Amino acid sequence: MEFECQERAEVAIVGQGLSNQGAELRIGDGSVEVPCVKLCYHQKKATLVAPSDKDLSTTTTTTHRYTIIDLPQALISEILNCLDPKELGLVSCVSTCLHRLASEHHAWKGFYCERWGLPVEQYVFRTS
Amino acid sequence: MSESNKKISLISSEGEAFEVSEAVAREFEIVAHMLEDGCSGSSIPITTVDSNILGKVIEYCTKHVEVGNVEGNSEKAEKDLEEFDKRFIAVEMNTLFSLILAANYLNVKGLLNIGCQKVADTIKDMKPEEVRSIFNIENDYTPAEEEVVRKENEWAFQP
Repeated sequence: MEFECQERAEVAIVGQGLSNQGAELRIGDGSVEVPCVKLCYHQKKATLVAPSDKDLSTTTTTTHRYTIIDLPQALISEILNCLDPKELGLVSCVSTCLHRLASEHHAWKGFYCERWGLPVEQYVFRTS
Repeated sequence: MSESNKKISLISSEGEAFEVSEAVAREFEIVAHMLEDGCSGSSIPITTVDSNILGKVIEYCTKHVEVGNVEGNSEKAEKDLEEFDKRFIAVEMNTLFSLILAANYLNVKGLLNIGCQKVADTIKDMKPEEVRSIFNIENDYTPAEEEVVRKENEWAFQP
């Protein structure tokens, strides 16, 4: 916890440093601001290494339970493409979100073609 | 041959390095594009995929590369691969969704296809209530709305 607090403080300083840098550019008066900019570069270097590890480890510790509606729309469409119309009818009764997706059947076709090319090609390949 | 001996480190979101052959790394289309674009670094960070899932995706790609390299008994190899895919994708739902997301991000088409097919197969022949419970989906219909939707799709409920 202590480390996290420190990092946050450092990030804030970097943020300040950046805004100072912006101010310096506008004023164009180098003599005072230059050491300040140098300082924040130093801090930036220090923070770049440490939090990149920490931040990533915190994201992985959050055990999020994925469900089908967490997937990007294109992927849900990809799954719905494997279903026949009858199954789509049943799926659309599950929730309003799935109903919307199941109703926009042509939208999936668009998604599919955009992502994987025309499904016809695959069909020809299979029958040959 | 020398190319397939080249090793590449794929770094998971936790920072764990997975050393794989270039041939396996190229199964990740995202990595293949990076290599083609002249990214010659030997370690590639895969920041959105954790070690557990990255390990699994590598396992999948390694198997597919191995089988792809075997010449001759293609029919048997294909059957083996089918069996492998079946076993590989028989995981609990949360892992399955993580695999689909990773396969989509890394652009491993074969894995994405079998993942989506697996979810679709799970949905098949299920009642809406069962789909809700297995995928943890909230029923956000009002009772009146649900009745309308069920009526609309009544034909789908008939055997």
